[in-house]
Amino acid sequence: MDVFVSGVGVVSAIGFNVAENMQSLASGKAGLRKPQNFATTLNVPVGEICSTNQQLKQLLGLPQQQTISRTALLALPAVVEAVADAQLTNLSNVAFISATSVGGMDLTETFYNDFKDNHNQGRLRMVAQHDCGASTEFVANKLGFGGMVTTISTACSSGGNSIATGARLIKHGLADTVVVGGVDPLCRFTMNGFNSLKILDSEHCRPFDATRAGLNLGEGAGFIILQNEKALRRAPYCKVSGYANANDAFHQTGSSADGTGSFLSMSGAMQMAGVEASQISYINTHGTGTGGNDLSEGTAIRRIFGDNVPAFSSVKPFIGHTLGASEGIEAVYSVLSIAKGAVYPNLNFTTPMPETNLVPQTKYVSGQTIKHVLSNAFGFGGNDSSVLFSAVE
Amino acid sequence: MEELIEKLKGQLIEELNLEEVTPADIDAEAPLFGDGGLGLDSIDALEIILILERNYGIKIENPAQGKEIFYSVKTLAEYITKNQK
Amino acid sequence: MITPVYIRSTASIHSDGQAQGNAKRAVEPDYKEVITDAGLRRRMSRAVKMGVYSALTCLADTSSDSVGGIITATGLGCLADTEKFMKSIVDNNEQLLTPTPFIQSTFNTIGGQVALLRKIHAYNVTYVHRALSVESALIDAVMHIAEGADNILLGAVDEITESSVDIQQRMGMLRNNAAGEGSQFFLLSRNSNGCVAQITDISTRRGAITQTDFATWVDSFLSNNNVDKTDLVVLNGSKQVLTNAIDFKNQCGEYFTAVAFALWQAVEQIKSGARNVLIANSFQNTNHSLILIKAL
Repeated sequence: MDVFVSGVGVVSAIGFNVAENMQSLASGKAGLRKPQNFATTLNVPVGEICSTNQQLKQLLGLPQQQTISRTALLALPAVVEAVADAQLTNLSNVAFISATSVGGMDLTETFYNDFKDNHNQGRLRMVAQHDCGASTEFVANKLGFGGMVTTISTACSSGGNSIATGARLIKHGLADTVVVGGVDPLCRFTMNGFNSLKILDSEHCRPFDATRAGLNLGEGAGFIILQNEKALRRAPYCKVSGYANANDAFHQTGSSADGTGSFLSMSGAMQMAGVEASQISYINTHGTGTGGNDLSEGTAIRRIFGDNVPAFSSVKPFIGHTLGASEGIEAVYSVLSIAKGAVYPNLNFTTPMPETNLVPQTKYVSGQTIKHVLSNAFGFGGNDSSVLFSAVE
Repeated sequence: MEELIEKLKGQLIEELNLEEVTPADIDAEAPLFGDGGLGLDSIDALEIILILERNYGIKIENPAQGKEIFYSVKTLAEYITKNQK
Repeated sequence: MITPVYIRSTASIHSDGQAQGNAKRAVEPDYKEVITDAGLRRRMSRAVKMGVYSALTCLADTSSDSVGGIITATGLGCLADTEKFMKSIVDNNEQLLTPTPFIQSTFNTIGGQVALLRKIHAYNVTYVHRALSVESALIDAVMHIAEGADNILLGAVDEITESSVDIQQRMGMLRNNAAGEGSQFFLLSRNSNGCVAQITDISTRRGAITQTDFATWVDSFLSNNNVDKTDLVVLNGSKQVLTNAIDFKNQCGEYFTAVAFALWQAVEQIKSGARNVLIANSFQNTNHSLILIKAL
């Protein structure tokens, strides 16, 4: 059974909707800046969304005094945009699978400052949204999704796994329409986590470059609407033709040098779709800019594509690594790559990694014939996922 | 030097949670990483960088730089002796 | 109705039902006996040890090649490590932080560790949706088995910390029961040979539900599955009144993935002669589920 993509919605450091994101990608305008919306001493670039929580509440028509996590405030506009784009009207049977790596951590951090030394202190409303399901429930209740509602968390590959699960719900006849994607806010917890691993670049990140020195974190939300044919209310953008999740089973955080997990996830997605390596038009890579990820992913790309590597790039220099949201946001970009025939530039690239000698796409192009886009998201715990989007014949 | 080596062994056991390992079990000249020695990994390398910075005021910015310094307890001790202010 | 899946083996770490203060803590085994890799064990928090121990126990007689996926569920994940890292951020003002608790705090830590220890490259996903986490994982497992997987390892973990108990206490969540924790793993199979029980159906609901609606829901669930109410053991984790029910949370305490304990208990009931077991669960009158397990 075919699974179609009929709607997209995105909020990121380069735009508060799909049109703004596309314009920034086309014009090569990165969204990285030093953190402004939360208190941190870490002076590194991040893909931060300019709006404060107060501004987001105002934009969304939510009461200022209501305690809402930034996670929920970022997810809501992206889901609303995707739902409108797919022209969904009756949401009573729509399923919703969200993904996040930190849940309502931004509120928990504030709570914890008061709670730490006195367990009778701290506003309970804040910590009540700590769990990963809280933002999903908030959005589901706001829109009235009446189908299955759940949340996936597999660190940085969460969004990719939500797309695969949504597609499977449709194939199994458990849903006709599923909203899938992911969301994560910037917060001190993840900033300090990646800093403690010494993989935050103090400059703008340089994926696949020989001089790459780490990643920049980002925040945002990206959701797409998956539907079976009978549920479609508009011409779809493309299909989800394949997906795979595999485990590197190499190390808790590091990636294997031979790219076992990413090789398995990419080739698994292609195999499901019956698509050969030569048919892939574009790879939206995970490409975080860390030494380990890009080497492992690059090696897996060489193993699959040999000397005929298709156009590929990482959009992380635009938006940062948005963790659980990354494959949500980048799925939107991948879908629109097919719809617009666009390939996005890998900013800040000058010198290929000597180990793979791979050269990514560095200029924005549109109007190409893009039939199959492979999109990667890899996470801690060796969790590697790939989704294959294909043009509707 | 001997004193520093013993102190380092204790700090490694403590900070890296090396269950059931005593200072006497650690050969000061055996490799800390990979097979054959303590079998430490890249996360441990980050923890050792912290041990050096917190206890000895020595900064190593790039974990890759640590490869020779972190070879064994002895090489660590030598590096500390040479670089401690 | 779902494609039936069969339960091949189970493992559980759970409370003996005795509360200490407001917490029913799990009775923990000697982890070293099963988690033999000291190199990995040394970084594991209690939640990770509970999960990995029960997962490895459940997989003991199964080759890694035959495992088609590892699907885990947790409500709050590795809470102790999360708090440890959060505390270190504040205490050290974001300087010189040790990375281990951050790495261990991710929600898929346990699934990842099991994959690493048993070299299982297959599908590996974690569901984190409050008191529907286990149910979501089950639905995923059922889909995988319908897609052709021979075996799926499914498990749930949640841990109590001093902070979590204090917060739940303040929220008024512990008025009727103590906070609970535990870990259960199940090896689910496509083939019934050598299995003890079958998961026959799952139904979930969100939002407040009345006593009458709940009863109607239970009745239609049972009649859809042709279950005779006189030949049924009910494991009740809801506030709804159900006839002849055993309150399973009386033993395991209240927590997001308590239903996994009920699933383990259902298999125990079937081993001692029950033919049909219904698990009815509610959490804070917002997440509800019904699961039907049958003897083979």
